[in-house]
Formats: sequence, C-alpha cells, structure tokens
Amino acid sequence: MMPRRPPRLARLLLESILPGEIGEAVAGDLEERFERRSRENPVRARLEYWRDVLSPSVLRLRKEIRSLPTTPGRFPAQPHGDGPVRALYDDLRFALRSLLKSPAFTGVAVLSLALGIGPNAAIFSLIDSLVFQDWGVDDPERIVDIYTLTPDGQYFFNRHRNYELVEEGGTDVFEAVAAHSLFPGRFETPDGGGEPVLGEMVTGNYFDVMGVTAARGRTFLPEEDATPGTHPVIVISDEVWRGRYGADPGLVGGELRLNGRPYTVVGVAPASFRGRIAPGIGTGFWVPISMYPHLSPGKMQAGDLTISARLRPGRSADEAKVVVETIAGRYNAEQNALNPERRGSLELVGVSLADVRLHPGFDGVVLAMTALLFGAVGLVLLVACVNLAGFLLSRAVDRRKEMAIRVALGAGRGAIIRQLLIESLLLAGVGAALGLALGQLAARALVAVELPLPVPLDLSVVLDGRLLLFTAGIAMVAAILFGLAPAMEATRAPVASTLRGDAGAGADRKKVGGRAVLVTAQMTLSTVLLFGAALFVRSLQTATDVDVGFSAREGGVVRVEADPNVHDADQRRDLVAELTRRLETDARVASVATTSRMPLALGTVNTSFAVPGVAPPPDQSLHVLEVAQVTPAYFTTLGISLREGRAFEPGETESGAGVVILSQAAAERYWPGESAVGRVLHRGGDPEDALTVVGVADNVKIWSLGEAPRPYMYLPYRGGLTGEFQVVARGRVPAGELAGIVRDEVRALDADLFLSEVGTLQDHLGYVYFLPRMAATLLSLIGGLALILACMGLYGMVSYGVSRRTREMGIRMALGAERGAVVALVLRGGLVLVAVGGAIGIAVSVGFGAVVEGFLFGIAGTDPLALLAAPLVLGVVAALAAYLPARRASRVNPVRALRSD
Amino acid sequence: MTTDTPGDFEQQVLLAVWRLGAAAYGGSVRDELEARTGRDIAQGAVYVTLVRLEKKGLLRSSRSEPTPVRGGKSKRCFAITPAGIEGLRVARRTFERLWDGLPATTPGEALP
Repeated sequence: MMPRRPPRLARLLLESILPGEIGEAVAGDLEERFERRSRENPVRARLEYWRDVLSPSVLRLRKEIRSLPTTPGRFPAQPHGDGPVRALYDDLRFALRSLLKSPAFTGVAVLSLALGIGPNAAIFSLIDSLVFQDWGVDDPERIVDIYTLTPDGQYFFNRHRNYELVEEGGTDVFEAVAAHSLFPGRFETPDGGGEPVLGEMVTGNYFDVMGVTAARGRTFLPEEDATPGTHPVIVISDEVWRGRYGADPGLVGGELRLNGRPYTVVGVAPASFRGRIAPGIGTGFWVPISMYPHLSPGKMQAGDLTISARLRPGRSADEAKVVVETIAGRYNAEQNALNPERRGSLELVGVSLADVRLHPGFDGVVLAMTALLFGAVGLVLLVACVNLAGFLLSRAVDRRKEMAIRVALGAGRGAIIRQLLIESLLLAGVGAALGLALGQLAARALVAVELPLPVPLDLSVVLDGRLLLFTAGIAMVAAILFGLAPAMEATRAPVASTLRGDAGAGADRKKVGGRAVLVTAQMTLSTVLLFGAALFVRSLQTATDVDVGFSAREGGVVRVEADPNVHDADQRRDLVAELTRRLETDARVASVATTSRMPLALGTVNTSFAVPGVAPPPDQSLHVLEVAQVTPAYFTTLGISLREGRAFEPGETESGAGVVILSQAAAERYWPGESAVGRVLHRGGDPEDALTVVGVADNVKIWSLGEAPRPYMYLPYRGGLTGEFQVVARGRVPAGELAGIVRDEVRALDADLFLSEVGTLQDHLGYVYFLPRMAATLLSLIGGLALILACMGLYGMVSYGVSRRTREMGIRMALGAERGAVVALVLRGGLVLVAVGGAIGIAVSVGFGAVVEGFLFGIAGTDPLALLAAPLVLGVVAALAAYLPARRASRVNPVRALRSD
Repeated sequence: MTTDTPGDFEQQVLLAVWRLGAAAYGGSVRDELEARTGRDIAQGAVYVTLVRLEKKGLLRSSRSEPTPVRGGKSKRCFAITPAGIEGLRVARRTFERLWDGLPATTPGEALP
C-alpha cells in the first residue's frame, strides 16, 4: 500500500505560511505524525493534521521566524543576498503589502480590470476555437480546394461532373484529386432513436489527399468507392470513438448503425484531424461517397461536393489555379461546340487550403464579424484601463507624501517608478487571472447556446497557451501603459513643499483635472458601445417585425424524416393521409397540414417547366421555380391567404391531378396585371404533363427575412421528393402541447420514423432570428459592461473629489450654504463630464454606425432611435453614479470637517 | 551570565529536549510533552517555544539530513545549552524556595 499523505490543501497552506527550513522541519514533523496516526485512524489523522495547520500558533511561529536575523546558515526564511532576484522579491513583497493596505482600491481596480479582460478572453477563446484552428492536414499549402464560382461571384459546391473534369484535366499539377460532401447522419442509439452527427461522404483517396493516416485500423481503399452502394464501411473520429464508444478498441472491425443500416467500422481517425467541415466543427464520421444511393436516396450522383487536390511536388498553387480555370474554359468551349444555344458558363476557382479559415465564401464576413467583436471588447478593455489609470492617478496624489519621504531618504526616482510599476503589474496580473476565469465561464456559456442547426455543433473551448499569452499580453500592456504616467506623476512633486504639506489644492486640482479627462473618455467610449448595442437591438426588433407571410403564433411543428429505402413516396403520401385523418379527429387540434418544405427552412427542391407564351430567361430552355408539396389544409393552417382561386382539394393528391398554386410573385412574373387562374404550365416542357393554375397565394418569406417577394410554386402533397416532411398543427391548446400531440401520433403510426424537430412555429423561426439575436445580446452585454465600468470610474472620481474637498464643503456649509446647493455643486462637476463625453460619443457613433451598417437588418447605421437611446441610458445611469457620492458631501458635519486636515 | 527565568511551558520544553538528548526534534519533543503531561499540544506551539528558546540561547539546533520517511523532509534537531540547564536550575530553585515550609499535598487531600 502506498504510504498515506496528509491532506494536500492543508500541506500547501502550511508551506505557504511557513517558508524556509523551519517550515520544512515543521511539515516533516507533522507528516511523520500523520503517517503514524493514520495507521490507527485515517480520518482522525486528517482532522488532527488540519487542526495543527490551522492552529494560531502557526501564525505566531511565522512571526517568530520572520524576526530572526537572516544570517546565512541560521534560519534563512527569505532568498539570500542582494542581487536582482532579491530586489525583485522585495519589490513584489512591498507592492503586495502596499496594495493590501488599501483593500477597497485594490478590489475595485482588480475587479475593473477583470471585467475588461474577461470579455476579451471570452471572445478570443470563442474565435480561436471557431476560426483559428489548424485543419489538421499534412502540408495545407500543398492542398488546393476547388469551388464553382456562381455568376454573382459566390463560391459554391461542385457537381460530380466538375470532379471528373478536374480529375481528368488536372493530372499535370495534381497528384490526387478527392471530393467530399457534408452529410448530417444519424447514429442509432440503443433505445432505437437516432443521434444526429455531422459526417462527410468522401472519395476513396480523401485521407491520402489530406495526408492523414488512421490512428486505429485503416482508412478507405480505392475499391470501396468504386461501385455505388456496395461498401457500407465507415471511419469514425477520435471524438466519437471516445465519446460514444468509450474508446472501445474492439469497435474497429465491428458494426454501427448509420441511418438505419449497419456499417463496418474500418478505422478511427487521429485526434488531430477533425475533418473538412470547419476547423472548429468536428466531423464525426466518414463514409465512402459511393454509399450515396443509401444515404441520399433519389439522387443520381452525390452532389454539393468540395474538391480537394494535392499538388505534385514542384508544382505551385498558383499554377494549379490557372489549370483549374483552363479546365472550365475548355469544358465551356466543348459545350458550345455541341450546342451553340446553351452557352456553357462553368467557372471553377482554386484556393490554397492554407488561405482558408472556414470557407472562402464567408471568410470575409466571419473575419469582419470577428473584427467587430474584438473592436467592441477592445473598447471595453480600454474603458477598464482608463479606470485603472484614474485610480492610480488618485492614489499617486494621495501618496505624494510617502514618495517625498522616500526620495528625501535617498530613494532614486527610477527605483520608485519601478516600485509603482510593479504595483500596477501585480494589479494587472491578478485582474487578468480573474478576467481569464470570468472569460472562460462566459465562453462556455456562449458555446452552450443551442444553435438552430439540425446537428449539434461541438466547439471546444479550451484554456490553451495562446489564450494565456494573449491575456498576459494585454494585462502587461495595460499595466505599463496606464501605470507609467501615474508613477511619473507621483515622483514629480517637489520634495520640500510636499513634506511641509503645502503643495496644496492648486496642484490637486490639476491632478483631478487629469482624471476628469479620463472619465470623459470613458463616457465617450461607453456611448459608442451603448449605441452599438442599441443599433443591434433595433436591428433585431426590425427583423422580428418583418411579416413572414404566415402566422407563426400558436402553432406546433414536427419535422419527420422517413427513410426513403423504407417508405417510398406513395407510402409517405398514405402515411401523411392517415396521420392527417387521426389528428383531425383529435378535439385539441383545429387544423393540420403537411408540407415537403416549410418556409424559412433549409434545403430546396426546384422544378422546371415551360409557360406557353412566356419566353424562358436568357441562356435557359425552361423556367425554374422552387416548389413545395402541400396538403389541402396548408394555406388555412399557416394563415396564408389566397389572392385568387382556391386551395387544393382532398382528391388532388393523386399524381395525375395536374393542378398548381403559384405565389403572387410568380403569377406576376408570368402574367403581369392579369389573372393567373386557369393558365397552364408544361412540366419539364412536356405539353402532356400540363399543370393548371387553380390559385394564387400571398407571398411568403422562403429563405430569409430580407428577401424580395419570391416566385414560388405549390403542388399537391404526393410524398415529396425526399423522405422529409413537416407537419404543422394549430389548435386550442398551447403550441408546445400541439407539437407533442403530433409527435405522439407519428410515433403511434410508425415508431421507426425519425423526428428531427419537435417544437413551435416560433422555434422554427429561431434560426432566422438567431444572428440578429446573438449580435444584439452580445453587444448589449458588452455595452452594459462598458457602462458599468465607466460608472465605476465616474463614481470613483466624484467620491474622491468629495473626500478631498470635505474641508471646503464644511466651510461652505458653515457659511450658510444649503445642503442641496452643495450636492448640486459636486454633481455638476460630474455631469459636465457625462455631457461632454456623451456629445463626443454621439459624434463618434455616427462614424461607427457607418462601419457596422452591413451587419444591420432594415435600419440605417444612424438610426435616430439608437442615437437617442444611447446617451439617454448613459445620462440616467451616470447621473446616479455621480449622485451617490455627491450626496455624501451634504452629510458633511461642518464642525468636524473644519477640524480635519 | 544572567538569563530570564524560563516560563512554565518553556521549562517543559527544555526538560523534554534535555531528556530526549540526541533524539530531540520538533516531533519527538511534542510526543514527549503529550505523553508526560497528558495534554494535546499543537506542533506550532512547540516550535514557537523552541525557536524562542534558541534565540535566548537556552537551546541550540542543527539541521539533519532529509530522511525518506516524513516525505523526505529534513529535521531540525535541538540540544540544550549550559545556559538552558542553568535556567532550569534557577527556575527550580525559585519554586523550591516558594514551597519551603509548605506541606506537600496529594490529590484529594483538603488544604488547611
């Protein structure tokens, strides 16, 4: 058995109280006793150990040791000699003592710094985990990602054809070309449910291109991606292996069920490689792209591909980019030769992976957002640092006498400045540590926010070296930048007059003036940040005020994902019909509808058709519209009114019904100013497959709140094109309960159906409001923090002023000044700063608004309401912060004040 | 050489160190005191007195090599000095003079 050791905490405590050799001897004695006693009774031994450590005699002993002469060889309780280490040690000890002597000052300064550093640490932590992680691939600068460039300059996924083109045409520059596609899958849980996990469908050479070898087992073989649907094999991530399977070494070679089908686990990826979705978002598993017939049924080929290619030795990324563009050009030329009417317009673009943070398409926005957040928290830090400077400045004035005495006794100015700098470094160090802790808590809270995505994201917030370095860096800069001036100030006072005590009010006033400038600056910064918060709150408000075109009140929505291998379209249609019948008989449900795609949801299905008498857009042979299949009650259930005509009728779900409803925007596009009802469309350009327009529905927001009225098409529900459908119910009970009713009915019908969303219509809208809400929340928190810090500064300055002017107040009151007048006098001094700071702040805000305008929804960067709100909030809160200490001035007892120094 | 008369607890500690001889260090002194007086004594209290007595010159101390037991920590061994022995004698003589002529009492016996 291992020898027992005394309680660790008590041991550490003892070591910190009793330094040096005596400390060691005492600890040794106690440990020896503990060993002996714990053989008889371990609990009692621990208690006794604690009692010995906490005994008051330990403190007496400490005093006793410290009063010993520090002759080497006797009781050396402190570092020897008088070298630089000893000097630093002395300085630190002195600084600590001096800070502990004024605990209120120290507490406020540390807290203020922590509040300033905390948000910086939180944002850094968050951004770092999301944006600034490595891809974990070998030589990222040797990997080129290839995207399709859309006509409006967006980076888009590739079709399978592009992959073939690049693989064929790029052999000169590329060693190997891989393709991968994001795939949200479901691992079956033991209770028969499904757990959503993000994965990737990849070509067989994907891991070779990334330069990643399996940590266990193997990656894919070339033949595993050759024949569609024949190789149900899977590689899982280290995280999934540890998290879901408890690092079971027997899993490799075993089976797991993905989307309802067994897959053989062939390998586990190394922990350093988290896939190619995004550096901060881990891929949970990889499957061969040849499995798309099982995973994306109904598709002829896997789509939405990102192509990644590894450069041949000696070839550069720039050469590859040219080759990629040439491949697209050659393809276009071939297409034109085949069919001069359909002009080929493929554009491919290569990007070196080393230049990609998340995705070349939105790296710009992400970096801008990052800069905005860092800018905001940077301003908070600035406010906090100004606080520190203000506190140090007041303290410097108070300690002038002390400094003068030290100078008179022969201390050099350099030594005193060094001493004061060490004090502020110590403050900053403690503040940074506290801020780091706060920041970690905040970052964890931020990451825990549930993102409105079908799959949970796994951002890991870790306390890494970079974050420590970052925090230590800003603390150092804060300490030196804002500690130096007060330190110089403190040592500048003329020694003789200071010691005589007549370096009077005139000099003080100047120093208080310096602090006034600082407080004004804080007010300015707070106004700008409050304005930013107000802007984003207004932006959120505007977003929630947008009419989405359907009623989101009091409805429940359930998204069902049927496995198309189990339920084909006809079966899904029958399933929905039965579900509708059952729900309609439920007294709590007023109306129920099913659609293949909810408005403001992800995913889309298009259909193409000819409109007799209306020419298709240039370069295209047919018209294209996005389409949803809906049941007859859809429009009434969602509260979408019909401008013209009628809704679908119950019999019209059969495939030959030949009816269609268009959105108002679609009707206007094809027959402006005329009635659309009764017009005919030819699906796929085939006159045999005619669709008669039976109704025109009001426009609904399909993709985003900001979109223009969108042409859209509704067909009768016939099982949809994918396995997914959404059931919406409205009724006489709360929305959440309605969703539960629908869920239970779906379960009762078929327990195998996977429900990926059970909630209210309000929840459904969550994701469109997510970004504005997140921005408004974050910036409100940041603005609020800045306001608190600035008010701490103002409060400190006013109360300091009051304490310095106690005598003056006494005289004024002795001479008959009203209490109110005295308060007003003090208050006025504070409020002038608020007014000046606020006014400058408004001016700066206008510029700030212009910068962030791109992030706002539906309001200008100079929104008048926000411009009004920011100074108003600032004024009210700041007035309170100034009033509290000012009131103290009126409580001054004139007699006592005059007697005081 | 004149010294202050050691106090009550100081005398107890001096006696324990003297009695223990070469085996006298913080832990053994405490054990000895606890065994002979029947009281619990804090280790810190023992050391405060040991250090104070050394300052007064009634004890001297030396550092022993670390031992594998007691977590590898070194010991400080104490020994009584001639001044320490003298201090104890003075204290004892003082007490004896004060006792002189009084009856020795035993527990349970009523005082006159």
